[in-house]
Amino acid sequence: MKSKSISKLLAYVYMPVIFSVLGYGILRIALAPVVDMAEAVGSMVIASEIPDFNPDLVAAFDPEAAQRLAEENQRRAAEAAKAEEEFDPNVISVDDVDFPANGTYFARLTCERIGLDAPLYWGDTNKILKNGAGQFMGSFLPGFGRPILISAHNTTYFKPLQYTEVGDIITCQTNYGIYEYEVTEVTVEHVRDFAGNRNEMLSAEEETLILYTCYPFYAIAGTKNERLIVYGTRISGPDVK
Amino acid sequence: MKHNSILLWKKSVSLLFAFLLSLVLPGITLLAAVWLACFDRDIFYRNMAEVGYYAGVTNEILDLAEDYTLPTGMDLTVLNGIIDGEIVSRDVNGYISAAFSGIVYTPDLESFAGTLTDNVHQFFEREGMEESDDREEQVREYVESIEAIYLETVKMPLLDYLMQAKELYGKLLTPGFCILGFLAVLLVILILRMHHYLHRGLRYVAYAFGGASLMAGILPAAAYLSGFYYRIHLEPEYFYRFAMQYVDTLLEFCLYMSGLWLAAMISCLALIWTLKRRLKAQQKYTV
Repeated sequence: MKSKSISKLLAYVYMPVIFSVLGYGILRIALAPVVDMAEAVGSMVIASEIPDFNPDLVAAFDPEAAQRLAEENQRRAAEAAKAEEEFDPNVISVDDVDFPANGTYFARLTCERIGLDAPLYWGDTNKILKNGAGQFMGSFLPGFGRPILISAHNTTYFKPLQYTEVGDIITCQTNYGIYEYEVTEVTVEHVRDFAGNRNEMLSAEEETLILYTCYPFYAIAGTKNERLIVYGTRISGPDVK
Repeated sequence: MKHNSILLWKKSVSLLFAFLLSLVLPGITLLAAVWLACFDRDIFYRNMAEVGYYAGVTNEILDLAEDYTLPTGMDLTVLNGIIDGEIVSRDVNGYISAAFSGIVYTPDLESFAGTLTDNVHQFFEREGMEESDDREEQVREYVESIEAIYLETVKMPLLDYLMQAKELYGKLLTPGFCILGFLAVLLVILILRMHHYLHRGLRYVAYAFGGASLMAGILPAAAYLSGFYYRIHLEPEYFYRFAMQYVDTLLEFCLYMSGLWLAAMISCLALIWTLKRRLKAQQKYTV
């Protein structure tokens, strides 16, 4: 009698469990197309992490790092010479380059003649452009022999660009090297044309510094449909291999 | 032998009906939970208040306006006093209320545009900039752009799609409730009528309530505890927090409903116990 009572009581536990397992099984089979579609959509919209809405800007730039690396390379060159080995101190190993993450202050742009002095961030979000110049992440770092595309507001960090002339030297100091670019062209283009040419610009096989900002400088928004673009060719700085 | 086979048949059919009932009851649960959690206006406003939605919208408008103003060379002080929390709340709620009521809402931007224009002219005066027709045209374009930013930001994203879903769901809700409710009542009656003693039929109803509680609760509980939906990237941040609160509310409602069925099962068990005791007492007197 006691065992019958116990089994009746247990039935109130296992029967609902059996019902729910069977129920989910039937629903899974009956709604298989819907479930599969939901899973497919879910895998597209659900990321691996919870979004971070306030990524802080990170400062990784060290103005003395490039000098230290250059001295280290000279030392390595001297040792290599003693050992009769080949070592080019003007070539930086890619292992010595810390690739910046989005929002990292990794370099500094300067041009003494026009008063340009802008911290350079990787990425070009609004938050970055409030704090300095931003590099388009689809372009390349200095030393890699490919185009470098950088923008900033014409009312703040790139205000001096209005005074740029052909022949000016713009310096880009990174943690692994100091690069100088000679301005070869200063031009104004409509924003549509500039955007349309961007892919072609970035696929070039030579290292060109491309700085751009809104134009004209003293109009308020609504009429700034043009871009002032400064092109520069690298004249010094180590290659990265 | 025949008696045993009849008993077996009754048990089998009762179990089948109980299983069907355990499928129907969570359906009713889901209909109710989705309607209350997703389409109830008061709960909507409550969720918005809980996640600081209005403050988020205000900050977003000011951020976007600053981003637009910065390249113009004007001081960001031109944006002082153009909006505050009260104005934003009024317009956010206006859009939502209108959407729920199926009407169109148009924010009044006269004060907004007036304040902004005055601020810009004061900036020109401070900077000693001469006014001209071209400059006035630029000011007008600038103010219109900031107004457009305001209008785009103050209206909740995806609100129109939500209201379309609400309309469609509303059409399904009443027939759904009626059909599932009718089926539930029918199944309960059939189960109870199949057994001579009420407590025996109620046992199967209790199984169904238990099954319904588990079915209504297991998946929502798993989703709620894992929080996988927090990894859906939505922007801006205040909308993301609102959407996550929205989903949390829906899952919580499902869990409440699961608890309701569990309570129903416990009530059934109490009733079964009472009926059995009464029957035993009656049988004792009869003997």
